Amino acid sequence: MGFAVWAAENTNWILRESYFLTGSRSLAEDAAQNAFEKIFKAWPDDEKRNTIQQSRGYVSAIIRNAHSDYHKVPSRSNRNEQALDATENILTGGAGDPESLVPSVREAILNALDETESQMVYLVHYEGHSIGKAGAMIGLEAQQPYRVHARALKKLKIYLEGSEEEG
Amino acid sequence: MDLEKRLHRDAESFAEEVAAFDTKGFLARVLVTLGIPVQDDAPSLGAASPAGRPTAAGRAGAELRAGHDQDKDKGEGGGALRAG
Repeated sequence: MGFAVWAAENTNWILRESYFLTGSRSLAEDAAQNAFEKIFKAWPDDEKRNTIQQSRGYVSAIIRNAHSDYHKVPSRSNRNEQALDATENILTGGAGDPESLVPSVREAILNALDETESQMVYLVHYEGHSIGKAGAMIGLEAQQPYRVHARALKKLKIYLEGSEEEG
Repeated sequence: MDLEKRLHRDAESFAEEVAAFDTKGFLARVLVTLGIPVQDDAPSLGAASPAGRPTAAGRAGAELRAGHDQDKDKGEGGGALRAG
């Protein structure tokens, strides 16, 4: 399979997951574009290409790294850009009201959970996959997905209840 | 509110937000930036994100294309957009 065909088949979920991570449409497109750039660069390598094609978890990690890399550049994290993104969130009804003291569910997922847990909650509750299938997609085996999912919900509940008490 | 209900409500909101995305247009922009041919009936193309930012892929595009020119000889990478 060529890169363009793979990209056409996977753009939808990559963009959605990028949006979930960033909470902003423009940042999601930037993060997804960075991820595609990294994947395009890795494509000629047989081993990496096979892993990309077979493991959604691997591609998710690339997206998350691409998003992290983007924010490591100081000029991109200046106050003006943050203000623009916050405004965009309000206008589009996106994740995270910057004026709110109580975090949105999405913020809680990203702040309170580790990467595996947040991926699990995202795939099950936002993408509609079963717990077993979501676990397989991110490389978990046997009963692991159910344990990870239960632990994630427990941590989320504690985090959100704690935030509400503080707010 | 019950956590499961909050998750369900937020997931519904998320689905509405992402439904408005122009995925095909985004894909076309990515492929153009990476120097990959796109079908003529693809939607409007542009090198910048909707926010008008220069994209990381744009900056690195020339370098990447140079690298892939060598790989095309092996039959990998490149290729026209056939699905979408």
